[in-house]
Amino acid sequence: MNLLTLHRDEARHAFFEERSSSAPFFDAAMGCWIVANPRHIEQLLQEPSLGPADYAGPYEQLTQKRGLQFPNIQFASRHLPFCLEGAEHQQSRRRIAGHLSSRRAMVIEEMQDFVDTAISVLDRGRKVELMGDVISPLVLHAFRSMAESPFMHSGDFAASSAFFDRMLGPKKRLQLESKLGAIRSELRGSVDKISENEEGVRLTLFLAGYETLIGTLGESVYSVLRQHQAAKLCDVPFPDFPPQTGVPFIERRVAESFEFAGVLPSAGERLRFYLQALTYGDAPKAGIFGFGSRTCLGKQLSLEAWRIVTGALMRTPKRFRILEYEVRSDNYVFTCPKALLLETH
Amino acid sequence: MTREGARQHVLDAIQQTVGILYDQRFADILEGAERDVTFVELEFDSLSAMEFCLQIDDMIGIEVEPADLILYPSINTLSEHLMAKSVAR
Ligand code: HEM
Repeated sequence: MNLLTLHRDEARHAFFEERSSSAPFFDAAMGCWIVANPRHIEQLLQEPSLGPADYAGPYEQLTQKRGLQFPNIQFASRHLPFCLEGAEHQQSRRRIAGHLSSRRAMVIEEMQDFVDTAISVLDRGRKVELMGDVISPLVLHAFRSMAESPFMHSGDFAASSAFFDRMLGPKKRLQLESKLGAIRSELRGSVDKISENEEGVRLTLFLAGYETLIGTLGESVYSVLRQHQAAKLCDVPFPDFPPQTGVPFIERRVAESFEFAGVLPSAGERLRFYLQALTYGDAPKAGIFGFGSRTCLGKQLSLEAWRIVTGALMRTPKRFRILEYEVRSDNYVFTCPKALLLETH
Repeated sequence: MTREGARQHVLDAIQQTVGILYDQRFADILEGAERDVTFVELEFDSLSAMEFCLQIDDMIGIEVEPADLILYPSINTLSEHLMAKSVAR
């Protein structure tokens, strides 16, 4: 079983079924503990012996060994709540929550206006690529509005998966460094007198929310549509909650050794929690947004985006057929369709 | 690059990274035996994986990523991969 690509492999369904009530196990190839039992995921993510995963470590190693410098990655690591603990983590969350609540209503309104225009491609063309024509532009529009900056370009797309991808080699890490540098200078250029914290908040929202939202919307829309091939879009019963996730797993580092379900993760070891396991059966589905003190701050906005996209599809009285679905394979972190091509008639 | 050449580069990079020279378990590999050994057996962790990638890049200028050590999880499979990459260049 290759855990590197499990999350985008059809074999995952059997894996999650088989592991739904098992204890965590150590995977030597991935070098971490694997938690795929929904009950354990919920319990452990609230376990105080676990700290944030170490995203900065490989960069420090490259600086030490090769003298490479990563000032923009360092900046992100100082601001991203994923990298912070204790009081710093709480302050970071407060700043992000404050920014989100001041922009949320406007962003939702803009998404609604945008989707009404974007979805009209379903009237015009017989073939529609839902990712490229509707979902990605919608999320891009929302994030530009949220950051009050036109800072993103299609080339920035994969910056977020790259930040969280521990499988990257030195070259791609350098590319990410310069990509973050470009995003930061656009942010500084477009928001007047932006403070370091304000810049950090905007960069965080982009890294935390952009690809995750595109991936979750895309995977979820696909998973519903594939069960209703040839139906009219307006008759497809989209659920209120996205049934799939673009964030297949999250990770933690063991701060203090502890015993759990007969296993003993030691200090310094890594745990990988397969949130994808929460999309099956009667698992606590809301957990795709995490549990405990690090729960997703973009949950409400993401649910609005889901309502807006599915609402627009459900207003379309056309029959559809899925012609093509392909999942992105350029990273080992998120799940996201590269293409979701529909034919409508 | 020949298969033997690629294998030798992999061995050299492993030697630079984790130093298996004095480990009796792997002595035969260094003497040129064809025995295959996985990176897990060599006790590679994320630090050694990154160091190994740097070593290969320094030696032959071919980009290897930590993911490759999982996709091609042993000396021989990674050597084949390097050979294919060098042909593709
Ligand atoms: C539907 C799409 C999304 C999914 C599935 C998702 C999932 C998650 C998960 C699982 C976490 C917890 C990470 C952990 O515990 O390590 C998280 C954290 C976070 N998410 Fe989301 N997210 C989504 C969209 C968004 C959006 C749109 C935003 C911003 C607008 C956002 C902002 C954040 C932030 C700031 C955190 C960090 C919380 C912390 O570490 O304290 N997310 N997200």
